[in-house]
Order: sequence, then C-alpha cells, then structure tokens
Amino acid sequence: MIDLLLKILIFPGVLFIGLASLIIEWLERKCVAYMQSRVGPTYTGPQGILQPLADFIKLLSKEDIVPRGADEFMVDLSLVSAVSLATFNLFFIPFTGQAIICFEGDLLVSMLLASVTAALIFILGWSYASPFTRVGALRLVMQVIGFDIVLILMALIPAIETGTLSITNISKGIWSALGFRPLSIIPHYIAMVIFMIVALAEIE
Amino acid sequence: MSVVIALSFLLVVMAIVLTYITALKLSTRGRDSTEKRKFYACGEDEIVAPDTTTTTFFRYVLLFSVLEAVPLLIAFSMPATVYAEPVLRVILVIYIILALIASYILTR
Repeated sequence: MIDLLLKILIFPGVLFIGLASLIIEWLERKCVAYMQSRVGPTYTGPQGILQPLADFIKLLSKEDIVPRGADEFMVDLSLVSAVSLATFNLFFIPFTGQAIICFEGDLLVSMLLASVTAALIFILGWSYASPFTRVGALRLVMQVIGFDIVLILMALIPAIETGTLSITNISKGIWSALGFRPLSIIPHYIAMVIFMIVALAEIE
Repeated sequence: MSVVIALSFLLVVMAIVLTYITALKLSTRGRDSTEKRKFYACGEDEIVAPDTTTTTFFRYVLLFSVLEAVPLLIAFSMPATVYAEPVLRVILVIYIILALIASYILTR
C-alpha cells in the first residue's frame, strides 16, 4: 500500500509529473525561441531552467479576478476537474516501463479522458458571461471533435501492430512486433508525425 | 485494479484542490472595482449575452459527450473484447439509447 501511495504521489505520480511539466515547458520555450531567432529564458538558473518554476510561483501570488456575471462555482469546478483529469491521464503512460494504471483498453480510456478535459475547458469558457469567451469555447469543441478522429486512428496503428489496447503492453511489445517486419516502422513514423501535429492542433 | 484507479483519482483531485486552495490563500487581495471585473470584450462595449442560449448549451454538451469519436469506439469495441462483461453490456445498451436520443436531437 505504501509502495502504491509513493508511486501515485511521488514517482511516477503527481510530483514527478509536476516537475517534468516544468522542464518540458522550459524545453518548449527554448525551442520556440530558437524558431523565432530569440534566446529564450536565460536569467533564472542555468540556461534559464528555473524560469517555469518562477512563473508558477508568480502565478500563485497573482490576484484572482472573476469577471462580472461569471458563474464562479462552475469556473472553480471546471478548472479543478480539468487539471485533475489531465494529470490523472498521465498515470496511463508507462514512464518506468509499467504504468500506474494498466488494463486492456486503457488506450481508449486515456483518449476519452483527453476529450473530457477539452469538454471541461469548454464549460470553463461557457461559465464566463462574455460572448467572446463562449465563441472561443465552441471553437475549441469543434476542434476537438474534428481532430479526435485522426488522433485516435493514429493511436490505433501501434495497437493493431501489437494486438493490444493497453499502452503499457504496446510499449513492451512494439519492438518485438516490429522486429519481424523492419519495414513496418515506416507507417509508424508517419503516424507519429501526424499524431504530434494533430495533438498540437487539438491542445492549441 | 479498480482500487488503484479510484485511489489514484482521489489523490490527484486532492493534490490539485490543495494547490488551488494554496493559490487562493497566497494570491494578492486587491481593491474591488467595476472596471476590473469587466469581462473581455475585444475593446467594444460589454455585450450581455441573453439567457436563452442555455438550452442550446446543454444540447451541445449532450451531442458532444455522446457522439464523440472515442466513446463511440469504446462502445463498439465493448462486445468484442475484454469489456464483454454483463455490467458493461448494460452500459453499452444505455450508451446506445443515449446515442439514439442525441441523433434525434441532431436531426430533428
């Protein structure tokens, strides 16, 4: 039980996901800066690696302003639910070779959780009284519905190759499955590129 | 596995709620003003949205949650794979009924 709690709370659970997201944000900012001929964060820590952490602390201390007419309860509820589901979804990823949650069919459940997170962001946008936010929220839902089909089709390619719908089993079995047919890595590579583009488009 | 799923979800929600409450406690308390609480309106005068849109909203949410690609895939893969348990079959039947209702709303 203690082992399970440590897994959920420390590694590869909540704390690890939080720290990893800060480092990934730093990497993303550096990449975007490189693409735009800038240097990106440099001052905070070596190569600016502590900048996301500094931003996180700054955001914690900023004043919370809820616009007039907004449904405050729904704003709070959808915010907490969306972040919780997005974090929970990462429990299906086998960071250490074995995911915290692993069962046959978890790939589809993970994709579903991603869609529900988008739906919660839609509710968040709707909870503000502004028509501009509502239009933005509707646009987000249209995007999710449109891109989800492609996203799941791309995610199903390794699932078909390995004959399982579990992310952990896919990661364990994909290399042996590809070993018999080396050329079959080509559709996987194309699927990966499409998946990344579509995922970026979906999460904006 | 169901215990692990429930416990994981509960702990994640607790961690996020704790962070959210901490952020609320740490946040600066400014002076309240009407100008500050104005919603974003692209520089135009505020447009107060009519209440009549509420029905459309729920219809939209129903269609989104029922006819979205992933729930459809889960539902249709249920009878063929490990999901073929009696309880999950009941869920599948409920899903099909909901999908029919959503299709009716969509096409009427």
